[in-house]
Amino acid sequence: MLPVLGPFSKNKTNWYILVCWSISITLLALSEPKKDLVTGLIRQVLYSPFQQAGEKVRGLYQVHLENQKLRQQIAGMTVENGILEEQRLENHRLRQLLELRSILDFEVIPAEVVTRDPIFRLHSVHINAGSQSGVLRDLPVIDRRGLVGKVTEAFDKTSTVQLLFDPGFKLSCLVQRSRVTGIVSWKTGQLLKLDYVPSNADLQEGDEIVTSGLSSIYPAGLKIGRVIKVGQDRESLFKTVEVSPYADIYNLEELFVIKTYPE
Amino acid sequence: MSGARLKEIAYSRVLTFMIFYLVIVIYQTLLSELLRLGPARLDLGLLLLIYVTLNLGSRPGIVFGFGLGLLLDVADPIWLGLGSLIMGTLGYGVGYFKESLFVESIYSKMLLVFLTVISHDILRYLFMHKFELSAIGSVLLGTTIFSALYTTAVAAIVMLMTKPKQYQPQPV
Repeated sequence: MLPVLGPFSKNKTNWYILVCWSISITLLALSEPKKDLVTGLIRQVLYSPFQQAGEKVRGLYQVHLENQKLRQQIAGMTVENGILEEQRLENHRLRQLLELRSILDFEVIPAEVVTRDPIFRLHSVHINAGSQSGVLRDLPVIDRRGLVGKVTEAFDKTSTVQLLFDPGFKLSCLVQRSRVTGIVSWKTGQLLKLDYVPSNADLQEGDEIVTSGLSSIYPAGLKIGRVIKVGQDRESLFKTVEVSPYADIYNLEELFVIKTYPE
Repeated sequence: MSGARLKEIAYSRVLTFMIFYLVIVIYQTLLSELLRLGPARLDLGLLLLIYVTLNLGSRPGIVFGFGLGLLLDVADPIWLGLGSLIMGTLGYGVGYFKESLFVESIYSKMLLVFLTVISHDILRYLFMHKFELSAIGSVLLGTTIFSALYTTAVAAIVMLMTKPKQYQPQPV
């Protein structure tokens, strides 16, 4: 023990702190390149593996966040895409309707289906055109494919349209090719039937059925549908004829109420 | 190798120090920024230094503090040696505190943690700014106080969670 240190040297702990200070001060006194060498070595051996692992974890976390963000963007874009697709189809339909409207000599009132009969889903629909737009009871209603039905009630701003699939709906019509007449009414499902067609009438599958013009409601020549099946009972005086309507009654959207037509 | 020998190795100070150093390295590289609360940082190194000194004594405290300071000096190579100097001194100081005063209650230990964090920051600031005292107030109020409170709070939580249950005699 150094006698100059006196009582300090008697405590072993004091020697520990003395050594600690000596080494620390020596390190502090080192030149910068030497300090860099020592710290670089420690950093490379001890810190680098954890720093690299940390960077990888942070990278993965960033990817996870980015993934979540992209998923959200995809969800938003999917919805947007659906809306745009819907608008594109609507645009296409409206263009067809405009073309139809320009071809027709009829004066028509455009309307959109707003509600459907909730109980008898396919018997009637409500449209957003009423008496204020010139819609009256018993005016015929068509879509871009063919006859849909007729107006049964006209309110101020809406109207009720009785559809071809209403069991009470009956309509005088004729086969366009052979001019054979009959009465069209709903059969079952999505099919119509053509009644009172004599068993010897000229009728075949694929024939087009149009309105006869004999009614005071419907003008002549409105397309109704196409014959898909012709049958004949031995004992019956009439044929059994199934007709598929042109109008997509299940998916009606844009309609026209025929206001006036040339006689 | 006998079980007693393995146990001896497991409890040896060197192994304890190595584990604590590893914890510090992991904390410094991965967690320190995550656990920062605004200006307040959790000084885990000082907490471990106090733990080692209070449980093993002054000399292990000085050695552990010296090694810990060196480890932390890596972040600031220009001041290599300063961390080991301050940490070693704090180990010595905490050991002196333990031997001279009664530090068994949680409150005195909390005070010890608080003072150690404050002392560490003040010493470091003084050495780095050549004992210029003009801005020490702003350093103390800017970050040191918050860090000391934060570290003390964490220490208190750990002490309360690891506090051994006191024996209560059953009424006769």
